[in-house]
Amino acid sequence: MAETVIETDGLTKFFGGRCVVDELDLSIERGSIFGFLGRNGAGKSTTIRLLLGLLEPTRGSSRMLGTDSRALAPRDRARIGYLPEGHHVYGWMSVEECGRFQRSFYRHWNDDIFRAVLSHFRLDRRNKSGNLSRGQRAGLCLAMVLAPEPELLVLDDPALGLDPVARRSLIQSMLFVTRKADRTILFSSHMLSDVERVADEIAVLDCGTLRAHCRLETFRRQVRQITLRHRGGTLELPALPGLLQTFRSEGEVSLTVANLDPASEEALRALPGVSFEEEPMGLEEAFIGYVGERGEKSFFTTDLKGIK
Amino acid sequence: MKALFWKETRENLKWALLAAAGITAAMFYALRSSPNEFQYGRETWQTLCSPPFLLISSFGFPAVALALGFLQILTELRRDQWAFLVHRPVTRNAIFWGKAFPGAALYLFAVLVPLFGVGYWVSLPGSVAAPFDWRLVQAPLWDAIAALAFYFAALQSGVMSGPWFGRRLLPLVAVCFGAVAIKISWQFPAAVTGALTVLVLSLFSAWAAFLSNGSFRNAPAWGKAAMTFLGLFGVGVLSGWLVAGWQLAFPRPPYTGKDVRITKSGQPVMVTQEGQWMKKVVTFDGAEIHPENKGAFSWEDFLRGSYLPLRQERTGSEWRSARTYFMPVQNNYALPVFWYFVNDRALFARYGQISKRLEGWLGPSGMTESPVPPAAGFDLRPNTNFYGIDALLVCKDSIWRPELNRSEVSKIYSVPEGEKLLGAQAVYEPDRGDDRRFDFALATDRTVEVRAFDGVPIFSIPQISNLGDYSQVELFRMPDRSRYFLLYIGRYDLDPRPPSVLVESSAAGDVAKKTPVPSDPGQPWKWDLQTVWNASTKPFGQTLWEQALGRLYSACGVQKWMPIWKHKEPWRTRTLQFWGLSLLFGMVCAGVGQVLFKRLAIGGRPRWIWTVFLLFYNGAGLLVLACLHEWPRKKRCANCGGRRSVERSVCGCCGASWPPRQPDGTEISELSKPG
Amino acid sequence: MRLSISTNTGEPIFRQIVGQVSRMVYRGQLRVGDELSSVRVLAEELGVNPNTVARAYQELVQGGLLESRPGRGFFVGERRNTFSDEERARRLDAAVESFLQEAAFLGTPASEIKAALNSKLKSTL
Repeated sequence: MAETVIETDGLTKFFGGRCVVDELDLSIERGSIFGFLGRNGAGKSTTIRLLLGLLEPTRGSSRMLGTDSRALAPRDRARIGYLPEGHHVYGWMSVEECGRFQRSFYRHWNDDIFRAVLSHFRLDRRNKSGNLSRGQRAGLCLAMVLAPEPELLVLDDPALGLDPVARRSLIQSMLFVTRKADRTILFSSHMLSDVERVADEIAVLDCGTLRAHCRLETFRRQVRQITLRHRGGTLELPALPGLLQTFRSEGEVSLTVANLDPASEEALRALPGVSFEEEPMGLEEAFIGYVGERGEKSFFTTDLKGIK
Repeated sequence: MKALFWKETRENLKWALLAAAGITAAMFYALRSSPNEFQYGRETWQTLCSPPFLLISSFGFPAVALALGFLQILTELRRDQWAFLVHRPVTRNAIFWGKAFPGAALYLFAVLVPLFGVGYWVSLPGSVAAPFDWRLVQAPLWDAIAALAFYFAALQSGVMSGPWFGRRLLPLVAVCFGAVAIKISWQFPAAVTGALTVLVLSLFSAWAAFLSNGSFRNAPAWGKAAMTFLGLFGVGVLSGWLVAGWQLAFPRPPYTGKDVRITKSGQPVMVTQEGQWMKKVVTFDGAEIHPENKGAFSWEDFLRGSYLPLRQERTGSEWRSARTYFMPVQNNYALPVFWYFVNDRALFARYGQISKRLEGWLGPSGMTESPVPPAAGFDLRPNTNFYGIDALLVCKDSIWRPELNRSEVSKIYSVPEGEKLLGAQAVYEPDRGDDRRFDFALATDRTVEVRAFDGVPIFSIPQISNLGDYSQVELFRMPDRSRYFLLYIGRYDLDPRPPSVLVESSAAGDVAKKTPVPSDPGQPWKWDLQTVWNASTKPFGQTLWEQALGRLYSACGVQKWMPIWKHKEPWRTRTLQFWGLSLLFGMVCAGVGQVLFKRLAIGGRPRWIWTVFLLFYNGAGLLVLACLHEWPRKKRCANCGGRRSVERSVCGCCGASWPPRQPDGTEISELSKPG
Repeated sequence: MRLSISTNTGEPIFRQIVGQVSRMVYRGQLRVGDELSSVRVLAEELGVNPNTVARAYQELVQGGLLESRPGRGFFVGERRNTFSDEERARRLDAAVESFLQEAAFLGTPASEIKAALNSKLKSTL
């Protein structure tokens, strides 16, 4: 029975009158790599700050490693590595000094990891951290976060603003930490390819509400794209629960649908004069279909007609 | 912690050095001395207490403290950097002290190093043509200590979340109290109490703000108390500013008072003044008189008197003035020297204008042309300083006339055996011009006399019999020297106050007439709206605090204070009525507070504490609570239609929980929560 | 052993690994007895979740392509069938059916289908 390391219970946060995180119920088990997805402003960073006790929840609660987020003691924080968005370092410190500064806060510090991550990102320890590139800065921050060998790693959009090489290095460094099976990673990202590569489980946050909380495979399986080809006219569709988007073009209706039940699938297949085809979907398209605008669209026939 | 100290020092040292350089430059600019800068407003002879220098310490130091505080906290507060810092496994305590300790040290470094550096420079012979006393550093030093509160306020203001006007601006406003107290409090203990109270409150508020992550509600109890009381000071400062602004917009009618004067023709009159305007002049019989050829009387129409004190009034010394230690006695700017009277030594000191160095000392035994002071100074009466107005030096039993142009001093009067010298002052003569050989008046416990400049007696009259009833006597002489008037002023501290008496005498010293001065009933006291408003809005807690401080000061012998039951009627009743009004308003506020508590979800013991607090700090307390406390957002309840707090999972009025989200069939969830 | 993973395609990563390893075995780039990179190493090299690699290896073991020697790692195994003949026939039949359906929708003549199938067979297997 896997232990739950992150757990939230009706976690809610208001900024003024705006609800940013709405009744969030999450649970993340030890050892998993958890991808936290959502559009900009969906509430990912706020949720992470709530989890780490850096923000006060409006109502509800959350627990990290069994401790209430609001009561995380330094002892608990030492077990949780946190890489905030933006990769801030004190620009006047050298890479070496950044390490020494960070090290002074931790009882446990694995300098080999620190060095390894630095060299992975090709960082010179004598360099001023203010002169580093965005990717190198991310590497430095990651080295600082990984060296204390945290049990739980929380990364807030670590790939933001990184080039593909740096992103790959980042993923490799992340995987490096999970060598021990009891390490857990929670990371938020817009980079669906990164998520696809490393995540076991994902949560999709949309406008503060949790829409999906499942294994990555399940998500890919449940979000499906179906193309119905027909001859002329308008195709009348049966009511579909879980319908996300409908694209209509000449002689073709493309549906993005979540949780398509067998009965509805049968109904679609049985439509007269229509060929039923399912196209495999990449994670990115599945995600766009899932959190993108709902409803019926017909790009090429109406929207762009007026444009010359 | 050591790493934090190192980081903060490294990060902010450059700012501190910059501030120190700026402060030093400003100080030297303020002290740039030119030989005749004796006019009011410059007075560079006061060096560390000169107005321009104190301008730097009372405005520049807070500015430095604010700047350093904000630089330290705002650069860190970019959200993620702050999150990164506070997530590190250290306590909030360590983060606060890791910032505040090096920050405060850097601020003190930035202001104290220049201050003591400049002080040392001034103390060097040849820097400034004036005496120097290290006690002069007190005034700017206390400014520096008081301004430290601005540093803590900046930290608090940076860290606090929420509406800027309440939680962010109020501490900044509040700490002005300390700086203002130090600047305007004439009495040292009051000044220091005010400044230190605010400093301690600001330190604890900032500390608590760090501990609670910028929230008031989550602050520890002591932190809430500190923030609240600091807020009260803020409200105090704000109301002070409001009153000042109000008075600027609607100036009060000028001061009205009644005064006894004697016309040039020898007619004693009562003059009703309104500001500078002599509104009404009546004789003692009540007949109004008017001047010839002009609309109103002016000062030239009356004789000018010489004030002779009859009682030794203990006067506090002005702690922010160099006059407490030495006093310029310049009388001839043409000479290349400056003269000072140095109070501790009771000697005159001469400084060269060009060399700016001490040239010699003038004492009872004459001039010593050496920087080494003679052992014996003038035998001054205790608690008196030489104020140099007439260049008459009144000692315990003698009067001296310094003639500084010739570096000489001569004794012009010795009190006879068995008499006590009470005071002396020059007799004003309009046509005296620049001639320093003037007559002077003196009072002993036996006689009041007028003598010529060399001490030859001109006029003498026996002292009034009931001398103990009067605080001072004012001597007037008719321009033709035919008659003298002595106005004995009844003591204010006696009850009932003895009436003042005007004694008229011939030149030979025979009493011609002794007239009691008609007493001035003053404005009749009445209740009006403003009085009621002032009395009720003054928090009773403040009254208690003032009483306690008064008691403390009187125990230390600094100030007079009487418990309320020893006050005289009708003042006692009136004071008690004021207190009653204040408490009554307190009760109203405590009642209003109950509604607020419900809204702010304050219950249980805190509710009782806040109620008592509101009783003592009525309107101001209510304002502070409303400003500081987090107001929970309300939403309409879907069940009962009432407004419910978003912070609670059940509705306050109907107990319904929040409506569950309607699933739309697109939810994908396979990980059900255990339990 | 050089694998390349492309994300954002319809094909899950573990399928890509399975496919690429099988192709390498069929082409002889991997021989019987060759040791494969460990799950950990391959995961870090490719930058993918180790569980994904493990799952792919598991699939390959089940398919009879690899064999796992506990404590030592994964090796290319002797070819053996883990599916029964009927099962294999059924799976092939389903694959051919769906392939032919698609071809029929495109309106391809039988000769073209045969030619395409033959050329594909030559190049991949």
